[in-house]
Amino acid sequence: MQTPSDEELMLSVRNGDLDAFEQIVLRHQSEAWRVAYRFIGDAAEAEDLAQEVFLRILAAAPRYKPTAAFRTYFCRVLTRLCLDYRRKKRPILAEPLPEVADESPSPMQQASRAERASLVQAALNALPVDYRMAVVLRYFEGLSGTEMADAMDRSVKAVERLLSRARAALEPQLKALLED
Amino acid sequence: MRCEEAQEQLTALAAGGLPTDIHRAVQAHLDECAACRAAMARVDALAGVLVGVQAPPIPPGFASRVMAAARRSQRAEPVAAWDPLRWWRLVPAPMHVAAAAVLVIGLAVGFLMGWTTLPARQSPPAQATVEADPLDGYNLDYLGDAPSGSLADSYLTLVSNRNGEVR
Repeated sequence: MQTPSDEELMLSVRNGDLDAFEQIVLRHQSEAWRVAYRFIGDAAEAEDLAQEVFLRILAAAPRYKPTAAFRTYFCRVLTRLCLDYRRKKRPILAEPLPEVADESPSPMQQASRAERASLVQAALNALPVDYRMAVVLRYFEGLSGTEMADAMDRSVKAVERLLSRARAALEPQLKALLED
Repeated sequence: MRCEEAQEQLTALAAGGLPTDIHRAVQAHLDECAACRAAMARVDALAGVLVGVQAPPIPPGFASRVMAAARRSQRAEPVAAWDPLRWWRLVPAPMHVAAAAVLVIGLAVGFLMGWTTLPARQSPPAQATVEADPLDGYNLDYLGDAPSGSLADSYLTLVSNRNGEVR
């Protein structure tokens, strides 16, 4: 039996099928969480925001039309919620990251990785929201220039310019890691 | 290609997302410009640092909490069995324009029809009024009394000369 595509699942959600919606959640929950966490830097707020993304998609499902790939639509909703969320809130300091599960790393390696993760998150939190979103979408989610332009409602050239400026802002912050 | 233009494309070059002609132009510039080659090296190093940091794990039970919230929202606002505007949302945009045009034309035709027929209905009573005695409505009896201050008295005063004779 062929696995239904995201667009096919959303058409079922449009008709009120919550099981189809659960499939959408399971497929895209990691991405929503990663982007929200990288962008906000706080686990509790990131979970609230990631949940809100799915609830917004569900609320808009009666009007859903598969005019573009679902992932494009999903990234657009996610990006805009993140940007709206941060514009309403004051920047917060990065909290210590939870210890990341790994394949038997040594205590020294674990401490080193946690420290690196904390440094990276702190550097991200210091960026303006648009720069931060561009970095998250490109470096952590691997979106192309076209996909980022659609998600952020900007031109491809504007997105590449954002990334260039974000890099210039990040390099001094991450100098210690870059020299390793 | 200027250095500023090339450096704006370095991230896309590293990600392999540039159109062929722009890719060639940027690569040609890098072959000639040591400063931009150094910038490219920094782009690669930064990408290595960022990508190398593992994402934190998704909180356990996240999907269950989302579904619980989804079911609550569906119970609070159940989908209406009948949605009278559903057809409006489903028809394409040109049909909206056509429907609006039909409405405007229909209203205009109705207005014009009312405008052209209304004076025809009103004119006969106006002609009858021009010929009728305006005092007919008061049912005055010329051979009856006209008490002082009455309308009949006022009328007689109006149409009489100084000697009290009707003109």
